[in-house]
Amino acid sequence: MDRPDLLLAYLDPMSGSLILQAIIAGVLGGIVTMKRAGVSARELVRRAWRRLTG
Amino acid sequence: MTASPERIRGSFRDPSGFLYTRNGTLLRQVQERYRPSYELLRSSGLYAALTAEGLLVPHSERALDEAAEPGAAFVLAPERIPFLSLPYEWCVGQRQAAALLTLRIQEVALAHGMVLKDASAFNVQFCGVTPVFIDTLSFAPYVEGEPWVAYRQFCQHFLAPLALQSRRDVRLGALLRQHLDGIPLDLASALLPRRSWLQPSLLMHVHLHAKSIAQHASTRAPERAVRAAPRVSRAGLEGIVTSLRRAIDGITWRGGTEGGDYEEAHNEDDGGRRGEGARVRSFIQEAQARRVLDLGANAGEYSRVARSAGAELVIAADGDFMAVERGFQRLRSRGETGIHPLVVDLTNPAPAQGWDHAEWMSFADRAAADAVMALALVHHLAIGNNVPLVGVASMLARLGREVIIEWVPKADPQVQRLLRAREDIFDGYTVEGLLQAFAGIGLQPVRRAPVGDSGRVLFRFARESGV
Repeated sequence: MDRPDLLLAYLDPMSGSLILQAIIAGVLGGIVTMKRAGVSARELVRRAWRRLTG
Repeated sequence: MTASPERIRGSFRDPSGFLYTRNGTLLRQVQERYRPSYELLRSSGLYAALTAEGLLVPHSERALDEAAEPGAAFVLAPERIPFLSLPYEWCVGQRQAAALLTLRIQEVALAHGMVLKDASAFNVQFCGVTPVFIDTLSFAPYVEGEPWVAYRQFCQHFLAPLALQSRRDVRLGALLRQHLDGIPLDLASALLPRRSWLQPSLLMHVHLHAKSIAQHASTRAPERAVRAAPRVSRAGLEGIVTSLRRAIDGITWRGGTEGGDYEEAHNEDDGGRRGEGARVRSFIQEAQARRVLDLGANAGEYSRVARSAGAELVIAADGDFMAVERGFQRLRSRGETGIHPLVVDLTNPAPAQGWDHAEWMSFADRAAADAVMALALVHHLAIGNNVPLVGVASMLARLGREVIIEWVPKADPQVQRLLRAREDIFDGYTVEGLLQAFAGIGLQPVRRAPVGDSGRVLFRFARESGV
């Protein structure tokens, strides 16, 4: 067991739930990080567009 | 120790500890295996922060020789909650408040380096209309990168029922009575309207969540699944909690099935009741009732009267979601305490539930009070549900030592409305029949007062010795 702390969950968290959670966390965490850095979604798109169009 | 400990039979699932009583005092034994978490709960300041905000039930630490069994690291005496309600007895607003409490606790816990390892709705109780978390052993140290193990449980216990009740039908809250670990997400997903797929929070936390669980259900070795558990950054975890909070916050229930004519119908019902409040107040005072059960409470108008008559706790039970919701919201906005609204169908109240019929007590065993009020209720049970008056009397007497009744005679428009489309098979529905029914179980009408000229009568039934 390399993650013994998860065993603190005496109820089965279900692997499908954990995987989905990680995906959602990736998206939502990205938004949180962006907001903290003061970057808006529009700004991200603009940057990506600039990079693409050189 | 004068008495042997009596273990609370429903307290067995979490190996971190269990509840028991000794000499009538409620105690919680914290097992040695939970010691590090409990010590962190104290030393991180989380316990102090949560109890200061009134989010977690406070406790005092007791001597170890009060432990019930070997293996104790600590013995706690939690403050007692006066009345335990179950999630399938809550109105939408109560469920929403309990959900927001759970998320708030998760946020405060994270700020102190801990997480909720358990997000069961059964861990929330209400003091009046204020939710409080009762499971002191639900906290685990937060490890950066770990997913939230209680995420699915939160969705099943809170988000799914709230979404179903607000977006499909409020009566679907009753599914929680069957599914004690929350509504399975595949079931919620199947029952929710199609347009709920367009709502990002329900799409993520219910629909895709259900699909992901189904897709990975065949993973053979649980160890492999745990080892493969993907990383969830702290920002991601916070994002999930924020997203859940917004989803719960955004839920509004517009009254669904009851429609707008509800208030009018009930005003009519209350027509003959003006001036009755003073009588009810004096009956409650005479009964010296500290705990009152108001059955058919509607939005709790007379529960407030009982409270003003000195009752410390009034359980305001009604079968109508809309009425209970209105009562709950009113009490919240006025900041009134000591009244606990509750959704109860008296023709089918909550039975003893769960493992071995012992995890959760029946409504009757939880709600028993000093006095039971049944104002303009008996005709609903006797005529609306064909219960003989003897049955009504014994049910009421089981719930309280004194019974206060507003008798509605057969000639009353309310009773006539019930009889409009059916044969009158209720020859026994008379005041004499009522008095006989109560006499049969040893209760006498120690007080009686007519309600204006409506033909209705207020009774206070008590044992002869209690006059």
